[in-house]
This record gives sequence, C-alpha cells and structure tokens, in this order.
Amino acid sequence: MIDFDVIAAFVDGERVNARALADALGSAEGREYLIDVVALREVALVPAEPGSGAVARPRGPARIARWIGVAAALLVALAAGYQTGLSRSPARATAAAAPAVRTDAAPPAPTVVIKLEPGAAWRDVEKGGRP
Amino acid sequence: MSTAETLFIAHQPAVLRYLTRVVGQADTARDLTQEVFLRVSRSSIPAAGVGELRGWIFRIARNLALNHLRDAAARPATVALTDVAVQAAGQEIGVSVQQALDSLESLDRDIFVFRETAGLSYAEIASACELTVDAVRSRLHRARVQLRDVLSAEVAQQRAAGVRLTRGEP
Repeated sequence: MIDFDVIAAFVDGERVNARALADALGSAEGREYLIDVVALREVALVPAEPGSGAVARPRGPARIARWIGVAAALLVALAAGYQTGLSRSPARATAAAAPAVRTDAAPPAPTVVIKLEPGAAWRDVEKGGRP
Repeated sequence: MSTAETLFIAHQPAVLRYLTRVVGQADTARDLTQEVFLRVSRSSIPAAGVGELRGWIFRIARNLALNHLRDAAARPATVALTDVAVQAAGQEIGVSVQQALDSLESLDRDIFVFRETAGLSYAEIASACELTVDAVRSRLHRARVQLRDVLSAEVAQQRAAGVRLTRGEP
C-alpha cells in the first residue's frame, strides 16, 4: 500500500523516513501523486481577486501623490499645532481672558488672619537633628 | 518595539493571505487582518515558542474567519461587482480554486490553506486548529485528494505548463 502521507509530508518540508519515502516513490502512482501535490500547490496560489495577495505599494505618480499628501498633512498639523499653542500661551491667555485690572483700587479686606509664632507654629532644631 | 508589533511584522502577510483565500474578498480580508492584530495587541501574549505563537495567531484568525463566514451565510446572497470584474479579467483559475475550497469541509479547507498559502508547518496547523499532527496530516491528504479531483483540469494544465517545487508561502 502506498504511503501518500509521507510523500505529502516530504513536499511540505516535514522530516520523513527516507526508506518510507523511497518505497512510496517506487510506484508510478506515488510519483504521480507527488507531481499532483506540487501542481495543486501552484494552482492554489493563484489569487481569487486581482491584487488580493498583498497590499501593493503605489509606484510612480501614485507614490509621489501619496508623499505629497503626507507632506501636506504634516504641514497642516504643524500649522494647527502652532496656532493652538499661540492661542493657549499664558501671556495671550491672560490678556484675552483676564478682566481689566484697576491699579488704583484698594486691596480687599482679609477674611482670615493666620498668625505664626515661634514655639507654637514651629520649633528650632539642631542642624540634622530631629525635633 | 513591543511584542505585538514584532508579531504583526512577522505574521501579517501570511494572515492576510490566509484570510483572503478563505473569505474570498481582499477588502474584507484586510479588515479581518487588522482585527486579528488588534486582538493580539489587547491579549496577554502567551510565553511560547515561535511555532506555538504562530499557531495562536492563526487560531484567532480562523475564529474570526469562521464568524465572518457564518454571518455572511445568514445575509442574503449578493453578487459583488468585483466578481464580475474578476471573471472578465480572466481570473477563472482563481475563481475555480475558490469554489473548490468552498466545497471542502471548513476544517479541511483551513488546514489546506494554512499549509499552502500561509506556509504553516504541521505542528503550527495542529496548534491553530487544536488537533494532533496526525489528524492534520490525514485531513490535509483528504483535502488534496478532493481538490485534485475537483480541479483536475487546472492541475492537468499546470502539469503541462511545468511544475516547480516550492515550500508554499513563508
């Protein structure tokens, strides 16, 4: 009986028993099967849709157009970033958002007064020492 | 570079090839491929060898493909304009292969596509499909025999044109 599996495994790059392979290829039927497996592989690699096997890289004018598109997108992004940064800069934001300040007005009266007294709010310690 | 990015760079082309062949539409396959790696990036990536990681990624891809095909089967059938364009452009072999693959049991189809278009080893396929290596070997043989019968004209045409031994897509 012909061991077709050993022929297919050999074609598939798997390790096979050399004696079993020789026996299988000793018959005309085994040799026909080997050729059919190889031919079937080539047939199977024909794509069902044109260009479906891989994402083709654009060439010539298409490629140039793509690079121009990328460069334009980068320029737009840079310009937009610069404009955003400009509108959010502290000086501009203060000028735009803060109301006009009257310099001649009196400061508001304090609502809470915190008194810090030595010994109560803090204690002096030796350099590197612990309280 | 994070592990998710490394996995994307290493496996995205093969995942895209697998999904393209299984769902039959390049745009859908691209969307699903993005979804695969989105899920990879959100998951805790298992500490495993390259083969097991590959199997894990393709298991995610397979689950997404099965979900998509199930949802698509529930929707009313439509004929995409690209289908007409494909036939007009002389892609009859590709369409025949797609139809032949669709006629297989879904697990056999996935095993065949994992091997032939994504280039997975038997151990990686076993990991992706949660099978033993022996089961993979057996199902792969069954799929090949069935496809050879359905695509006998295309195989004969290829034999006449000459054959070249490749190991499938890497």
